[in-house]
Amino acid sequence: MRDLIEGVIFVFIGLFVMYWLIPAGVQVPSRMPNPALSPAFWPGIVSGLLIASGALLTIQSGVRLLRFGGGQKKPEVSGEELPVGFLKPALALGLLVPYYLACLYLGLLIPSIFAYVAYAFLAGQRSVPVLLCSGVLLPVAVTLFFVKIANILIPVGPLDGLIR
Amino acid sequence: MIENLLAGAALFADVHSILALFVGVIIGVIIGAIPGMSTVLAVAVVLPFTFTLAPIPAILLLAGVYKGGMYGGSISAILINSPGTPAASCTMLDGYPMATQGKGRKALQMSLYASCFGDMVSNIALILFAAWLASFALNFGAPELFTLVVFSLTIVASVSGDQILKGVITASIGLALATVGTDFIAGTQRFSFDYTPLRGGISLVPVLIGLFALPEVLRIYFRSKAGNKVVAVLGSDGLSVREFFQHWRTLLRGSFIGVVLGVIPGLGATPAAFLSYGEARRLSRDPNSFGKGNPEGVAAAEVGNSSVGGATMIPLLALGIPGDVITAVILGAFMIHGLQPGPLLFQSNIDVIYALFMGLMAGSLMLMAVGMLLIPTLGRIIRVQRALLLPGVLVLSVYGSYAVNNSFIDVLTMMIMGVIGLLMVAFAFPRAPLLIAFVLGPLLEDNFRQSLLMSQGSWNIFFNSPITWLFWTLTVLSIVGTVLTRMRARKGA
Repeated sequence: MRDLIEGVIFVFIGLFVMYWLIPAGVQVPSRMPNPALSPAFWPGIVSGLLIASGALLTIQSGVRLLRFGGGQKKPEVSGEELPVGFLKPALALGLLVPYYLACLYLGLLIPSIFAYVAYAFLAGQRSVPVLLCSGVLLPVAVTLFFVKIANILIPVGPLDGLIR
Repeated sequence: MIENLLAGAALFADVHSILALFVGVIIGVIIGAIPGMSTVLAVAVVLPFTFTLAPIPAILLLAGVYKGGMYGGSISAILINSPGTPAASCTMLDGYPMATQGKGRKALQMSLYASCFGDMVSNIALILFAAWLASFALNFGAPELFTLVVFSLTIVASVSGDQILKGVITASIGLALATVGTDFIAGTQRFSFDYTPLRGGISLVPVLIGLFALPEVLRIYFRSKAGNKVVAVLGSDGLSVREFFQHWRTLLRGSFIGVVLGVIPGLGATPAAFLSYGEARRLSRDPNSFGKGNPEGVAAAEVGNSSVGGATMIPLLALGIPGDVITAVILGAFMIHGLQPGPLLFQSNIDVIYALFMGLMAGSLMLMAVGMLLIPTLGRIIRVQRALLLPGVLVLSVYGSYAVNNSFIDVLTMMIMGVIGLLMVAFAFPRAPLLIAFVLGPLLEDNFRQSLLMSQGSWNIFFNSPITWLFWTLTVLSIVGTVLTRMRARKGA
């Protein structure tokens, strides 16, 4: 059943790309000597491929459903790795947003220190000395490597004078 | 030839050259192994040091980094399911399952031995057949490259496991992502929506890191107590020489594929790795075991990607044409030292060429030694809890993505691809086809359109030469073979 829904979704995505995204997003010169040379030609082929494969997936899943009925076997989980609730995964994904935004304004180093500590804590590390040591040492080491050895300009925000 | 070899050996047997090569291999392995860093970054790091070196140590330093990086990428691919290089994403398909089954040591050794084997074969091809292979590469024009890439894309079926249609869907997404940016013929914008950072297209490294490394980091938050576990187990079982050479057909076939693809400028190690893997799976007696921890899969991927290294030096040395970014840097190193790669180099500086050949051969042996020494150290690193190691991978991924173009848009790309990668894992969509298609998409489209320009719109150009017919035939055979294999598997089930 899930494959059927996925197939239908990709058919719609393909149609969306073909009939809305390509006309809106691809600038086509007014005169092209050959349609195959048009900037929209290749994206059109790809969206057609997406529609076709989505349709085939839908048909394949439909046939399978008709033959064998619905209900997918749920994967077994061990007692140690039970799925968690909604909060932890949502936080893990959600923290990416402030991490990225903080990097824009504060450079990479300080947000990375906080991100490391936050993610390690969220993953279950509870030893504060370990969290702080590794949370500071790793981003600093990586920053120094890029700035001093690789000579790549890494924005470090307020710590710019200290690092350089 | 013997005199030239001896002259080259004499030139190579200098402590600076040997040391430069050794240091290059170590740097390449270490940086290549870190997700978020790439071989290109490793080469960029050592390039300034080459300015003060003599020509041979300078070039051997870069060559050593290239060799080391080819193997190094497989280390993180095997141990933490996060490839350090694009080509290592193929090694990951069987390498990581082996590591989770407690066979990490075996997987690393298989990867190492296969890398050295492929590297040695490509070095021999370079020494013995450089001129012939270079002239063969010259026969590849836009139509030939197009048909070759079409054939290469059929490997999507091999790396999709049981989910071929889902693999085609993700490959389509990869092809679509590759179209973002400036159209190279019309010069107009595609899908950039007047957002300047997108005009240059989407970079490969953030896509790679986001698709493979970030989901591994985020997955531990979807399972309780996953953070307390170690990332993988090295295990005590090693790989015997006999076990390794049981896969001699795969090793030779993969080496051949890597050499042929390496000689053609622009293709790189990733298609070679996947093509070698795809062929190994197709011809295997037990194709269903691929993707579930089959050592032959690791061997096929690594021998394919490592045998590209020496072969990419063929167009560089014989024709002065760099095959990829790294050989372009090596070309720069040649020119900085007053050497012009091409036919004249073979006449005026043949001793330098043979010194380089000797160095490349020695580099393969050094890679073996460095790899064997590193494996116990890696065993200690992977004993670190996931809760400490994987957030570190996240930080490295952010830095690595930024470092590509000094742009935060690449960091954003990496994070978005990470979420997409996580969804793909959750809904059982294979990720490798997206990467393959993303890498090959520009080659496919550019050569297609160049061919039509050359033929003034006639599609006959794709059927004009024996090489195009060869690859069309191989493509059809590959598709038919895949369909028949699937039908047989269903009947058997």
